[in-house]
Amino acid sequence: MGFSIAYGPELETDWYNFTALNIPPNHPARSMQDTFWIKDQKDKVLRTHTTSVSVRELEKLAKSGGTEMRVINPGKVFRNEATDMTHEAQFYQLDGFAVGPTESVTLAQLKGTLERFYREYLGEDAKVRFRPSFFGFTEPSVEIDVWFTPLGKEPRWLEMSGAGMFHPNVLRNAGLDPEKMQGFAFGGGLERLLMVKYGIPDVRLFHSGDIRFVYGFDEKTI
Amino acid sequence: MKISRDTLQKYFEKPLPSTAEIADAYTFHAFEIDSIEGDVLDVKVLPNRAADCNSEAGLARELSAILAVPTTAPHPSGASLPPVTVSLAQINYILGSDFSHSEVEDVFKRLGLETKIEGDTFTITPPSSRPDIAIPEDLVEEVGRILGYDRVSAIELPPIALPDQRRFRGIERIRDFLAERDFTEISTQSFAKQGEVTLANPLDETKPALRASLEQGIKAAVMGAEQYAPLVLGPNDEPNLFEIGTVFTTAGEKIYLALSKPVPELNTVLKIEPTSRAEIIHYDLSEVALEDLGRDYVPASYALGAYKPFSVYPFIVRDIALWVPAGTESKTILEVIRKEAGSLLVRSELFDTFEKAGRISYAFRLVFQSFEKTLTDGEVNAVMAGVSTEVKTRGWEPR
Repeated sequence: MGFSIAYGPELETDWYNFTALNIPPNHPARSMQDTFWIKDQKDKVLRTHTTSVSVRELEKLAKSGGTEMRVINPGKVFRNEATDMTHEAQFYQLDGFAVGPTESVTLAQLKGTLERFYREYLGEDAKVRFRPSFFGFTEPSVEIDVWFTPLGKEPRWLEMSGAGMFHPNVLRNAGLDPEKMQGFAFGGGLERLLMVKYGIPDVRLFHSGDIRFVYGFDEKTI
Repeated sequence: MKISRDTLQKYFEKPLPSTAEIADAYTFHAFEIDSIEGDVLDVKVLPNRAADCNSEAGLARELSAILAVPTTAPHPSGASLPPVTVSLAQINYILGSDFSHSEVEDVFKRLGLETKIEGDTFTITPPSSRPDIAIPEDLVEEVGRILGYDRVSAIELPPIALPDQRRFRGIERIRDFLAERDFTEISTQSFAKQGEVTLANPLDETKPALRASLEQGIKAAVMGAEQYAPLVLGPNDEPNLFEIGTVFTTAGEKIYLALSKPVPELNTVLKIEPTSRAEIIHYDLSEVALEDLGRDYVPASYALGAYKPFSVYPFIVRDIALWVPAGTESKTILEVIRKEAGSLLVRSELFDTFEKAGRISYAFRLVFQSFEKTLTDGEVNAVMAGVSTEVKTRGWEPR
């Protein structure tokens, strides 16, 4: 679908993790994420999402004078929250975005992109629905539910990620003109996607270094 | 905020739909419902709507807008916020929708927003309780969610030129190279007892730092792997582990590769020397031209089957060696052993064969484990006694 893969730092500045994403200090969205702050470096955080990489990529687009970009940013993110079977303080996120000239990249195309991804990854019966939500860096903002059949279970709707259309302030903060550009962005946990696809019971297995987990799958090269 | 259907009904003259239908109305047009108990909904009001929806009247007004049923709840009074203008075209080119002028007009009316219409443009003067309406995109969201995102169709992006994925392919090439040499990739925790960068608010007080090296994580994983090897590897295989991960130093963040065993030919692939050759081998991948490594490389693809959880209870290993007549196949013997040993036998493999004087000696490694409890030596001894008796009746002689 034309997406390139981008990487960025895990130890991120407050600007790229929050402020550039239209989440200034005291913004309600900051209290929605439990952030690890760094001792003696007031400006640094462990990134709470890889959306920070999106801003860095949008800046590159602005500097190059380009008008179109599609990127995914897979990477490790961190949240300061108690761990259990479904919560881990470090996990992988797959963030991504597509931007283009005004009128060119729409919420309908976000739905089309995600639906194709989930159909290819989870199965032909997969489909996507949107529910209203709120994130600082998108307007409108939506939650993504995916309909599919987990192994050995009945088909169901599962909440998979958050998404929306880039907030004009995010494009502006990256040096782009929101009057001339628009685009969609999405992001969700990767472990959760793997857990539902393969029937993995505990998210803490992924970063445990335990080979019993790695060998828990039948595997064939394709 | 918790609210019952009965409470909401006080704000409507017409009878409301069922609790489940009200829950769906909120879910797909405004707010998530955390729980439903009887006719009480726990509505998760979004933080940007706290000013107008954290009240009975507020939730009633929202429901009225969604269902297009009039409410008796008073509209909030007080000062107005600056007007915001959006055009019908803008709404449709952001959403990729084909909403009509009258539908959009109706949305703003249902939401009780003061609206001035000039041709295709709508100018809204929001009340002070709607600070979330400040830019045109905020109005686009109001239209999208009230009319329903199910009306936004799924459309694929037009194709563009093949993108640059060389860095990703370079890292995959290293992974594939090591996997082909029987290495297993693992991932360990970024938090560490000691490091050069320390967290201001650690989750685990015993690990207040970020790792400056992969050493501790992979060492612990190797210890675990050696312990669990009989469960996942053949009797003659040993676990080789590697991890690719970020480390945090005062000089900045780097990507490292750590290996539990040296692979000399890796130096040629990476075009660098390891930074240390102690028990664990480390390479600084930040020094590697990953883009060059990934140029034209096509990563291997794997299809994984369903995950099979492992037992958390300890396992017991027993070896059995047998003299059998020449011509007897090891798989025939394994079938007999497996049938006799039953479900506690989780792994069984041949690990040694030799012939002498017209007879063959086979040695098998048997691994026992229960999903329900810690097995005792006594229990495994009993199974082994049964196996021994069974093989003897076939004329095979345990050594």
